[in-house]
Amino acid sequence: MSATPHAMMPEATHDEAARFAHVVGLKNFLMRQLEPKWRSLVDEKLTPQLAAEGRDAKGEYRSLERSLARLGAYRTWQQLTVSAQEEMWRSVGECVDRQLPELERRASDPTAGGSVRTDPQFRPPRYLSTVDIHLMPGGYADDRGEGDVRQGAVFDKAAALYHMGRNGGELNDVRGHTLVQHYFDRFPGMTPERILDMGCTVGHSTTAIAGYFPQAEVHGIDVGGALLRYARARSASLGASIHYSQQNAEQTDFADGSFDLVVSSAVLHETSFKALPRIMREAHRLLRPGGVMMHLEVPLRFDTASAWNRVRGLFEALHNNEPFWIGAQQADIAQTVRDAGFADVASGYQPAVRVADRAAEPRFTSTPGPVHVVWYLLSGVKR
Amino acid sequence: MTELDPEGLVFRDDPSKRSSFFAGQADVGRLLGMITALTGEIAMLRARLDTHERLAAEGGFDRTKVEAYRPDATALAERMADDQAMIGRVFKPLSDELDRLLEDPVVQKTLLETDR
Ligand SMILES: C[S@@+](CC[C@H](N)C(=O)[O-])C[C@H]1O[C@@H](n2cnc3c(N)ncnc32)[C@H](O)[C@@H]1O
Repeated sequence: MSATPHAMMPEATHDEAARFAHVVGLKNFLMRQLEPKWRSLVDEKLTPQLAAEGRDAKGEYRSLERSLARLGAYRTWQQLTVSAQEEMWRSVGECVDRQLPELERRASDPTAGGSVRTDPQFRPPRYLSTVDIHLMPGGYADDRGEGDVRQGAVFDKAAALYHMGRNGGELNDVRGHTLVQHYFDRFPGMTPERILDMGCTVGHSTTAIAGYFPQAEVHGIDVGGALLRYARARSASLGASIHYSQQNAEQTDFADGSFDLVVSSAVLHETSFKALPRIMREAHRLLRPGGVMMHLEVPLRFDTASAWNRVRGLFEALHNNEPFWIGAQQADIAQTVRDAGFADVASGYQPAVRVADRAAEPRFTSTPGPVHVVWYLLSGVKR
Repeated sequence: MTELDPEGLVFRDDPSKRSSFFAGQADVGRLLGMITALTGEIAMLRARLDTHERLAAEGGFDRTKVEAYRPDATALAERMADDQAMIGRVFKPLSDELDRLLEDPVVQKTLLETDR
């Protein structure tokens, strides 16, 4: 393993690093060796047989899932998938706990740039508080009080494993660069002076975005104090001064017209039908006239998903604790953006980039692609 | 149930409880969890052994050198391949069962009898 990418990243011992590599290997095995077999059973064997009976496997995905669950082998695969995820959090948690006092000491440096504002009265919305998303123990909002950075450190270390190197390695910032590339593709002459990242978690994307606009004042909001304290220290150690605050993206305390760029990255699919229009209206309120809103999302749609993808989606929703996973793929998010009053609304696919380039030929396209190769991008302008 | 609620959300019947795939036999789930953890420990031991062997090839070594050792990209790739093979051996009964299901028209027919 290489040196840590920034001062806050927990360091792994020899054995911890070996356990991490194994968790990645196990997830890889479940996803690349076993899952394709379920996919071919459902999409290549069962779907045509159902079609021959005049039935639609895609429409019947729920009862098909119950049917599969009668097989011990299916239940074993489900359990192993959950166990591998739990093992990831367990092994990362153990590594973080071993060095938590040191991480907290580093995060408390009063000379570090940026700021954190937490709110003891804050309550996360139901879609985040009912279950621990991705099975991360304690959930995004977990906070043990003043100075705590544990959940941030756990999330940061695990994210690099979770994405298995596909989101920019240990910095996990490909999505941030991709958002900026979308901005350059669509608005080549513009430079934002005040930027808000909604649902910033530990600032992976926020920090990448800030790097392109060194003069800008950059804010990030999320629901957990421990995430945000960690995020501030992480971005400071990467040379970015970012202002983090504990707020709900549906309703913030920033004044009207505070920003000229409002973004979110991989956040909307963790909200709800009710929250989507509220977040769009809030972004609209927060933008000055001429300001831009951009959301990056997983490039998956339910209508085009095969029967297996739907069954797998249901598993993700129920057992990897992603309650809005299916709802988000069914929602017409672009319509909520238009309804919120945005003009020049565009939606499509932005090829993932490791570095954004203002001079590059625009590659924003209507052609879908796989997750991590392209991201779904939705943007609009406040008139 | 697995219908989305009015907010588009779907949860397990009791979201406060962990997923349980073996009704009435929770120990089967726990056992699989333990096997999963055990493969992690085997992997860690294999990695440690690999470290010993690589350091031995370079001359003497002690605990400090072992702790400090980090595989380079080539060594890491070799370890990951070795780990995939170990995982493949441990979980072979499951993988074989899946291959069998793919060729078993009788079971497939029963799967078509859904409770729709
Ligand atoms: C998958 S993470 C996003 C990661 C990060 N934006 C990135 O690009 O790497 C989703 C985040 O959105 C946050 N989130 C979801 N709904 C929110 C809301 N209404 N207000 C604030 N944060 C929210 C969650 O707490 C979580 O940290």
